[in-house]
Order: sequence, then C-alpha cells, then structure tokens
Amino acid sequence: MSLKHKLMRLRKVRKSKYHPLIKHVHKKHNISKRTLFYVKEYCTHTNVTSVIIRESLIVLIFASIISSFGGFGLEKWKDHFLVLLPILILFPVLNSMIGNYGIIFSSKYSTMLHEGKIETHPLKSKELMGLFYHMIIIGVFTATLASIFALVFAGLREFNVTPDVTLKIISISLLDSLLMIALLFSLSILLGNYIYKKKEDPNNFLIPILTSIADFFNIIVLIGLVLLFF
Amino acid sequence: MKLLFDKEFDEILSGQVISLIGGLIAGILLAVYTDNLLLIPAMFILIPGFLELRGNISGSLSSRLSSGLFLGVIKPKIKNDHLLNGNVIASFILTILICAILGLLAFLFEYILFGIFYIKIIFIAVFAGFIANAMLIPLSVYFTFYLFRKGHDPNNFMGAILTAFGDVASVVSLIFVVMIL
Repeated sequence: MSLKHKLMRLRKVRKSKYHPLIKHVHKKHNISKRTLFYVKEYCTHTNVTSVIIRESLIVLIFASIISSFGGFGLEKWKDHFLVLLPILILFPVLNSMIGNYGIIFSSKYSTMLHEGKIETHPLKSKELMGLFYHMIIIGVFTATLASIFALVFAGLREFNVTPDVTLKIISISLLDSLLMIALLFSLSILLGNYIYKKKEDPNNFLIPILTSIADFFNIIVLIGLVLLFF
Repeated sequence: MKLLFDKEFDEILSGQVISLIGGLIAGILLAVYTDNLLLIPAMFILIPGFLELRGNISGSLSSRLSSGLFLGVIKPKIKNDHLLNGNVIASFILTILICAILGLLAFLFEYILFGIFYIKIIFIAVFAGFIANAMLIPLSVYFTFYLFRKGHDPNNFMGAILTAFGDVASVVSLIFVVMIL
C-alpha cells in the first residue's frame, strides 16, 4: 500500500480510536506522530469545523461560567469601581497580564514535564525557579507602570490624584499581580503534576483551566484589595 | 544577574508590555464611555468573559494554524483551503454560541440576584461578539501567516498581539453596539 493510500485510510479512522497504522506509518516513512495526529484529526473535508466546535465548546462554556461568577462580583461592587477611575482603567490591564502569566506558566511547565526536566521536587528545578523570578520582576515592573499610566489618565479626567491615593493604587496593582503570580505558579505545579501522572498532556488542560482560574481569582483579589484599601 | 535577564526574560517582558498597552487603551475607553457602557445592567457580569473570549477563540485559532503551518498541512497563503475555511467558520460559530451563553448568564445573574430584567444584554453580547471577531479572526489569520512567512514562530507573538488587539476590539464593539441598539 502506498503512503498516499495509508494516509487516506488514516483520515477515515475515528478520531477517538488509536489506529496501529499511525505507528506503522511513523516508523516506516519517518513522519512524525504529530503530523499523523493532525491528518487523522482534521484532514477530511467535512469534519474540520465540527471537530473544533465539539472539542472547544465544553472548555469555553466552563470558562464562561467561571468568568460570569467573577463578573457577578464586579457587578455587586460596581459602585466602588465606577468611583475609582484608576482601578477601572487598570482592570482590563491586570486581567490581560495575569491571564498571560497563567498561559506562560502552564505552557512552560508542561514543556518542562515533557522534557523530563522535573525529576525531583519542582522547586529544586533551576529553570522553573528562574521562570518564577522572571515573572516576579516583570510583574513588579508592569504593575507599577500600568498604575502610573492609569493614575495619569484618571488625573486628566478630573480624578483627584493625591499621594495617598497614588500609594494605594500602586499597592493594589502590585499586591494583585504578586499574589496572582504566586497562586498561578503553585497551581501550575500541582495541577501539571496531577495531569501528567494521569498520563494526559498537560498542554490540553492546564491552559484553559489556569486562565479561567486566573480571571476569576484576579477579580476576587482585586475586589478584596479595593475594599481593604478604600 | 546576566543569567536572569536573558532572552526569555526579554520575550516575556515584550509580550507583557504589548498586553499592557492594549489593556490600557481598553481601560481608558471604559473610563471615557462609563455612562454609555458600564451603567447598563449586567454589563459588569458580561465584560470579564467577553474580554477573555477573544484570546480563547482567536488564540486557539492562531495556535491551530501555527501547528498546521509547522506540520506543512497548511500553506501560509490566504486561499480557499478546507483546513483554513474550517478553522475560520468554527471560530465564528463558537463566538456566536459562547457570546449567547455569556449574555444569557449575565441576564440570569442580573435577574435572579439583583431582580433586574434586562434581556437586551443577550443581543448586545451576540452582536458585539460578532463585530469583535469580524475584526480579530482575519487579523489572527493574517498575522499568523505573515509571521510564519517571515521565519518567526507565531506562537511566541500571537498571544500578546491578540490580547492587546482583543481588549481594544472588544470594548470598541461593545460601545458601538450599545450606542446603536
């Protein structure tokens, strides 16, 4: 059977089934298993759209529910946010940056697990701890910068920027970023190890789970800090 | 010290600065249009999920296209290709479905917990989601192909680009829909 015929056969195999043909084509023709997975997953004209929708929908609904719970917290305390203009401006910034921390931690930790770099205790890994220190430095820098810009713009919109308010806004932004970095770092290790021990690919689960958790807890931490400081 | 400020540090910092710029623009728009946008019932419930959706859908689209490009099953040209079409159509359908769910959740939370009946929030979510993705999906495809053609790994840049553009596009589309509805 020619390679073309084998690939055509592979396209017809149900995606939920592992077919021995994958191993055969991989060994004989030196085509990577990732390529063969892609052929089996998507390469029929009819199923690309339905495969993507089916596989993404549950995770996206889960993420939507978690975000809506976070949004409920915002709605409940919206008077605080509407009055505190710098916090209102900071909200999308912190949300994006903290979501990105979740993505970076989960994707990098998944790769480290696959490459066998986490053999003993994760905290003994120089690479992982290096990543954590990077995030702390970047978190402090970007949170401070974002706060300053938010305060400047709020000042231009006639918000009364006093030294006391400036200190509080910068403190909220810094504490929120640092707390979330610590939380996401711990969760990516705990969840990553758990998923990896279950013989699943952490890449497929860790990113959506961690970004949803990051969004939800960011709102909770932000509300808590705003209520504490103001 | 030199080891700490390495290439990885630069790449992560660049991505975060791009996100910061996008987030600040979105935040400033929210502050400027507070009366039009944030005083609408359930809008605060909708916004976190709505902002997250851009990354979740366009980010996944870009990631799938990048995998296809590296594997050689997708060519970095915008043409009539079943994989590209399937990805784009799926992203649009997912957007409409999830925006409807987000709108419905916002409506239910607002009605059950605050006693405010504001069904318009579902239409706002769906129309704004459609407009935001009409901007972002072509942008995701274009930039993913462009970066790949220029010899870069789109995975390293698209997250930050989409978060930044996504935040701005989402807030702009919400403002636009709220003003016309």
